[in-house]
Amino acid sequence: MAVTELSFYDRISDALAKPEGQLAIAAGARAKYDNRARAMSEFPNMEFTRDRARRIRAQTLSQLDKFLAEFADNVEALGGHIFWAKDAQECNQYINEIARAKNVQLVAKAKSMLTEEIFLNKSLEDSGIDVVETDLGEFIVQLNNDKPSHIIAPILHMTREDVGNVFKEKLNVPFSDDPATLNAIARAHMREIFLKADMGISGVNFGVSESGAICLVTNEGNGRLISTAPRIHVAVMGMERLVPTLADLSIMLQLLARSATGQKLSVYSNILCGPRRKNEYDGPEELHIVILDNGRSKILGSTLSEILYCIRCGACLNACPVFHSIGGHAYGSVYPGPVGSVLSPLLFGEPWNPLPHASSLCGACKEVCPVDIDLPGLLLKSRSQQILEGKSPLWMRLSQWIYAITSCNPILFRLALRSGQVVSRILANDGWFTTLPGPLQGWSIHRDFPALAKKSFRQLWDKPSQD
Amino acid sequence: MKRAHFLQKVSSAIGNRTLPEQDETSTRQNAPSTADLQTLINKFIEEANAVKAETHIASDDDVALETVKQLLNNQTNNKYMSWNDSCLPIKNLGQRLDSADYLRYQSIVPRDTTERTRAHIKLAEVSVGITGCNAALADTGSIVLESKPGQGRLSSLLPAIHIALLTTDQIYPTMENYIKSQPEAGYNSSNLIVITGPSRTADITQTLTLGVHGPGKLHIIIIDKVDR
Repeated sequence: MAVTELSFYDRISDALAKPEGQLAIAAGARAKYDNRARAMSEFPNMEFTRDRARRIRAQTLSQLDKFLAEFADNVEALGGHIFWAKDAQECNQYINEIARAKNVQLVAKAKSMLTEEIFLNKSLEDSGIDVVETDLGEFIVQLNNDKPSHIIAPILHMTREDVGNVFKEKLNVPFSDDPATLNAIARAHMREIFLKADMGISGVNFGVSESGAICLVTNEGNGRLISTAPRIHVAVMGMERLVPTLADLSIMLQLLARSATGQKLSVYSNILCGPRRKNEYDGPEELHIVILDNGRSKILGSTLSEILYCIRCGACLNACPVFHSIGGHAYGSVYPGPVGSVLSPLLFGEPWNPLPHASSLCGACKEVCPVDIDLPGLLLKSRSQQILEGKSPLWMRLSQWIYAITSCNPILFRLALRSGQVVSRILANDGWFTTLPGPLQGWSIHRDFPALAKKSFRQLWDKPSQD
Repeated sequence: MKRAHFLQKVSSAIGNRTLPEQDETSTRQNAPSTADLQTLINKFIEEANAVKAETHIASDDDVALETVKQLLNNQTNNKYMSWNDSCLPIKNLGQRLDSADYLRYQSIVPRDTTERTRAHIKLAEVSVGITGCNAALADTGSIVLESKPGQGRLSSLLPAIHIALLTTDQIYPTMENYIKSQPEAGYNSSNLIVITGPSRTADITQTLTLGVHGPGKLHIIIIDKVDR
């Protein structure tokens, strides 16, 4: 992933400076959070099911090589093609090769964060192929040359006026801010693309090892159309996306829908088992499934492997107070929010290191996670790893170094304490600092910092008060 | 990348490290539902309506046919596409609709590239798709369709209105019950689709709108007595 020019802190300042976007994000995420809470409270045996789901994920990942081999064998037995891709480049190259060999001119795409991760659209467009995003939100993102701000709701940051303006400008239609009208415009516009596209590209929500099936979950129906109408269907699957059996899949589908949108099931749980068969009425003639590593095997071997349990429901984004304030774009990654803060440095490297620090570790993310990932624990681990690897910022290393020296030397320690007390006496207001100097100012806008006590513990120890 | 190399990387990443809970595969199951048929039907209707599917009850297939005709009459044209008659619970539906002047479009899509697109564009004219069901799930109000020969996917996908014909003996309490009693459903055809309500989106400011790409209306006709 390309490094964005702005630093994380600059992006946060940018996000905070846009109150309309901020309100839209907070309201949208809040609504999703409430929907999830309601759906879960109505879910019989919720904790039991969540526990089962976690065990399914753990079992799958602990024998992932076995399940991947079984999955691939089954897909090939059904007449599908499997391609093993080490990284983004191998994946994009393979899909480009199919497109060239089969004379593909128009690609219809379903929403897939994985293909965003590897910049597949750009790679195809560079080869002169038209790529159209068919999920309504992603379509608007594409028209607007924007980026998705939420893994489930790509245009969470946009108001309905924003969308109306994009349609007016890019599709030459009269302005409307009525979602139903905008929806009808998109439906009409997209029809022809579904019917004419040579290739459909999707991600994969779950692969089923025992049958070689893949499952695509959508509410709009675009996932069904792009996997039915075009003659070629290409599905790109992160290698961790498997479940062992169809019964396991049914557990995951219920949790995914309730966690993501508060539905009992998504409108279309689409289970695809190989390409069109003999005597079937319709469906793709060819099915290609790309199994992509792109850094995942490295994560699997790390102490943060639990993050691979994630089923991409977005519930932790909706629960996160930091996400509510800064929105998805500020993270600078296709995976924002708590899960993205753990994943992004692992997948994309050092420039994303500040992300795990933007958390108060309140634990709301863990509470809502359908597979009970210990996100606060992983955020802490991620931070400590950076420090152990000497990758923390210079100011932090410097202050930690000064602190270490001062605390190891009694004279220096006492000196520092005394000067602290002097400063406190001069600047503190009734035992509190109400403003801090320099870069610490931001912190003290909403909080006061306690001043040092008049007498330190040591001083009290040496001369205990008589009363 | 070669398969062996890829899998080697995965297995060495797993190594000897134990992931949490990997050894305990849960054998517990959610309690099986023992509801009687009428409770099951009522629950299905309640849940289907909650996701904005419209349900119609038909005491036999003659009544079901009348409901189908009524729904077709409300459309801008008389064109429809459907599953093969042998896969539908209403006997000779095609013939009986022909004689009432409805026009059924051929829904077998050619395999040839150019012919394929042409067929798609023609099928886009129809206003209604009629299908049967392979099962229904009471606790979510879902219908389950397989893409076996005679049961095209596009009939439940392309038209703005989808009419699904369901018989009461096809209703299961939950998805888990269904998969347990019909394990082959996951292999039978190239597509097993679980449909829960009409196509919807809330992408624009979380406002629910129906019918974005799939059918905006889903009518489920529940047929009580079936002469098979």
